[in-house]
Amino acid sequence: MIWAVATALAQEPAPIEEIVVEADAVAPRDDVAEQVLEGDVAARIPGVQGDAVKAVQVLGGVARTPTGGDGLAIWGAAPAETRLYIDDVPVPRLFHRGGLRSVLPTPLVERLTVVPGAPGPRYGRGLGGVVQVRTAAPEPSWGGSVAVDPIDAAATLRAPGLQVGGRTGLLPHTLGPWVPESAVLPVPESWDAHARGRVELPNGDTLSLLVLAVDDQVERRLPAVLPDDRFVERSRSGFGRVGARVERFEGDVVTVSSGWVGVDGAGTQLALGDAKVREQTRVTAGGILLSQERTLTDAVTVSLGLDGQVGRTRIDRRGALSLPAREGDRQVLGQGPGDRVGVDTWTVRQAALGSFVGAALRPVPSLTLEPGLRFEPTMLDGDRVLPVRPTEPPVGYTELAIFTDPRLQLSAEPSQRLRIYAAGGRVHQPPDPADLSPVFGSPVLRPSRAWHALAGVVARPLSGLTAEVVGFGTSLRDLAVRPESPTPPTAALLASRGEGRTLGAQGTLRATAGALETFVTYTWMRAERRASGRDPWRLFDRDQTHGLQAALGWTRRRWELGTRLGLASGLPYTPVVDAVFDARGQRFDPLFGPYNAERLPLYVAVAVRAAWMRDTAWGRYRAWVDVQNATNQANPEAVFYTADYGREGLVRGLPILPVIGLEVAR
Amino acid sequence: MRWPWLLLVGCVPELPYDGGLVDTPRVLAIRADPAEARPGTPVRYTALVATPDGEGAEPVEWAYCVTPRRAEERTAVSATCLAGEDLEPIGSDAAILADACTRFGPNSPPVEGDEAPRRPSDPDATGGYYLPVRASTAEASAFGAQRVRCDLAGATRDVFDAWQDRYTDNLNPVIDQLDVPMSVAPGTTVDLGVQSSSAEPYVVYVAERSRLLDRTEDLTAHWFVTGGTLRDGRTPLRDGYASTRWTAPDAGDVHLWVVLLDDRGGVDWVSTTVRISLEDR
Repeated sequence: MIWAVATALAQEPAPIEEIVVEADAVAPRDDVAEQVLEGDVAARIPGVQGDAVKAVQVLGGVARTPTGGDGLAIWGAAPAETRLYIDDVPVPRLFHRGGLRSVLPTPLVERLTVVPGAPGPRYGRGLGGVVQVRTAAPEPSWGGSVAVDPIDAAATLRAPGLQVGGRTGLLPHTLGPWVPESAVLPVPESWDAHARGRVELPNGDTLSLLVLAVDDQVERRLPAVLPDDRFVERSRSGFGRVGARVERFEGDVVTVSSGWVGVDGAGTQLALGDAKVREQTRVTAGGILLSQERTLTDAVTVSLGLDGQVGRTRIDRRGALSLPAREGDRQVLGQGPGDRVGVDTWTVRQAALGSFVGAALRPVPSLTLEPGLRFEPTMLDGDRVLPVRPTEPPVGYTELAIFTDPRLQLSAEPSQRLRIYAAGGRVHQPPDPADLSPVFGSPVLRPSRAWHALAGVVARPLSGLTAEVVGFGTSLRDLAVRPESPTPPTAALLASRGEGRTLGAQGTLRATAGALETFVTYTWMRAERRASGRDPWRLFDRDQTHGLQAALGWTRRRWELGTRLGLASGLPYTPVVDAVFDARGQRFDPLFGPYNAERLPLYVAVAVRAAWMRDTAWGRYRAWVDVQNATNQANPEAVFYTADYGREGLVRGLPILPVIGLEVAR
Repeated sequence: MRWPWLLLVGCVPELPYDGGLVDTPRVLAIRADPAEARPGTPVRYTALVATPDGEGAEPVEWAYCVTPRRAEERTAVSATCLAGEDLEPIGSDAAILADACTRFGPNSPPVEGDEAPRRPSDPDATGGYYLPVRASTAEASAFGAQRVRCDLAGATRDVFDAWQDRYTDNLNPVIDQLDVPMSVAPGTTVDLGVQSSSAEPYVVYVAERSRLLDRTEDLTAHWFVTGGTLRDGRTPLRDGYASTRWTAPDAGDVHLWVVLLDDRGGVDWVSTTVRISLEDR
């Protein structure tokens, strides 16, 4: 079955007892609007090049990721507002630089879950939705696999209860020679490695271990508006995680205890002539999750838990004040960063101890109410509240914020073929440590908050046919934005006064008929932001009014064929209406029109996939060809101007990209 | 073999643009004399106005931009000044704004009542602060910058005293020699050169290390012509000399300008005319 893109709610309703016993038993209760994709199914979606995690970009409500980008924008939330988890371990990103490959090899992916909005009380610290990758436990046998395609080469080795593996990127050798210097697409030197273990403890508990390391290096020359210039970018970023999880099943009680530690590191050097930017970031963090779900009666299940996280972030940045660019900044591709520079080194420590409680109440068998509450004191401690001056002693700060976020989900099943659901709640997100510099940002930023609301219906009018429609809305407050004044207060280059709102609707249709399966999802959405309550609303940088994914798959014996059509509104952009010569810099400065007043043309992409697989007594062989942008559509990704801003052209995205993959597994 | 379609991977479009060709009236440079001075000091501004027919003789109108830039603005002046707002008209002989170090320098802007202290402007990589100046004619305009001498803020007494002793105001660079042929044959490619020994030493304050750093200015020559093709429109001076290569057009006299900039806002320029003559073939 190629197209088993499923919605949790599209599954047959099951009694609570069954949910507790099934569903991995350790997974907390499903969220009403979540979308679930099994790993082996995800890897076979055309256009993802056999990369299961990449299939998350195909799901409804997930905005198209621009070429070269690696962040997910879901239901109008910025990538930094969406929480990413591998099992219970938060990670900074799911993709290698450039976005062509995820950080997890497909054999390690058991299931993808996207909660686009209104998450349950066990989730916090993010204004948007949640993406969780559940890793597969190693099989209790010896074995291994090798796989190679133009993006990377991978190998895994498996012993009973343990799997280790690694991948090394091949893009510098395969795609790199064909990519010109002026390409927007980064071609990283990347690698990742993992270990996944599972041990049955003597007392019957299950211990799962996960070790993950990811690294990317990029050196490239980015286009600049001035023909003689090039941005030279050298960057290295990576992260490592070690996580452990113990699951215990005792009758009607499911207990999960997990913990993790990790480090993130990133270094970037960017130069455009004399303008240079250098940034080094190092994060050490760890966390625990203790949760218990207890079935009290047939009509009542309660869950409660603790979700703690501590972290220390140290950042050393020197260079242009305008970098890194923020959502809402007026700029064009290739524009210099300006002549003003700053220097700062700052450290932020964060500690949060979230506690959550929830209940599933079934007053009548067809109705489920799930009230919940998340209570989370969060402490921020920084080493500088003002820019460093030798004449003044360093003064730090400590802030304590307490979040109390109510959540509610409810669903009704008038019949076996119909489910109606609704959900809502409030979420908070502490400030990003990168924004807390007294030179480049502000140490006094407040946490951001958002309200989510959604309502939907799932129907199964015919066997093999599932249809779902959901409407959603979010309201965001206290977002960190640039200040209104050109001379803001000292140590306040950012202010917590931004606002956002999203309104949308999403429809999904899934049908199966024999060997054929089809999946169609369409999202209409309008995501807007503004710098303060006094400013007019304007389009969010990643707003995507229309998004359509339509796929058709056919499976027969050893063969699989599939195709997918993706349509998406072009990204909004701010037009340049005039330019004035800067005689000191000897370059033209653009004069911008209204913010995000224009939009790039429609994005259209067709992907095709064919695969052949054979199982033998020795093992499994699989070969596939995946053609991305099969019609070689010249999709626009950005606007590029001449140095005098007199003419403009479009930067095109990836052309037709066939990828052939070979896998051998035992 | 390279697959042609792969060359399109996320590429920027080919948009030919010759920034060194003067095919419309342009203000190519603005010079302040003196190049750096304290607020209130009288200064004289001159503009290099180039037209396809040679140097323009139209009257130039002058104005200061009085609004500082927001932190995220990558332009030389604020968006309001680019749009023609927040400008204070002046003559070519004017005085540096008395509050220039407050508006555009290291002094904190004034506050009202119990407002929190406001953030002063950030310097450029040479430690300099600039007052934007606009020169405009009926057909062209540009912004230049007056470097303003402001006192060092936030330094210890020792460093402040050392800076006072060692800091010298920037001077406009001087073009010592221009190596350009008087006449060339149509289509001929020739080397053009410019010489200057004006790179000055200076000190810059490094706040995070609380010390002064010795540096020497970089000079850059910018080339402009009314015809033909320049290989490089911008050439840094190395050992006091910079050169570019120019291919002459098929006919007509060509006006040529060289603008010499130091990285602290100093300017000099020189112009000449090259005859395109069949006799030189």
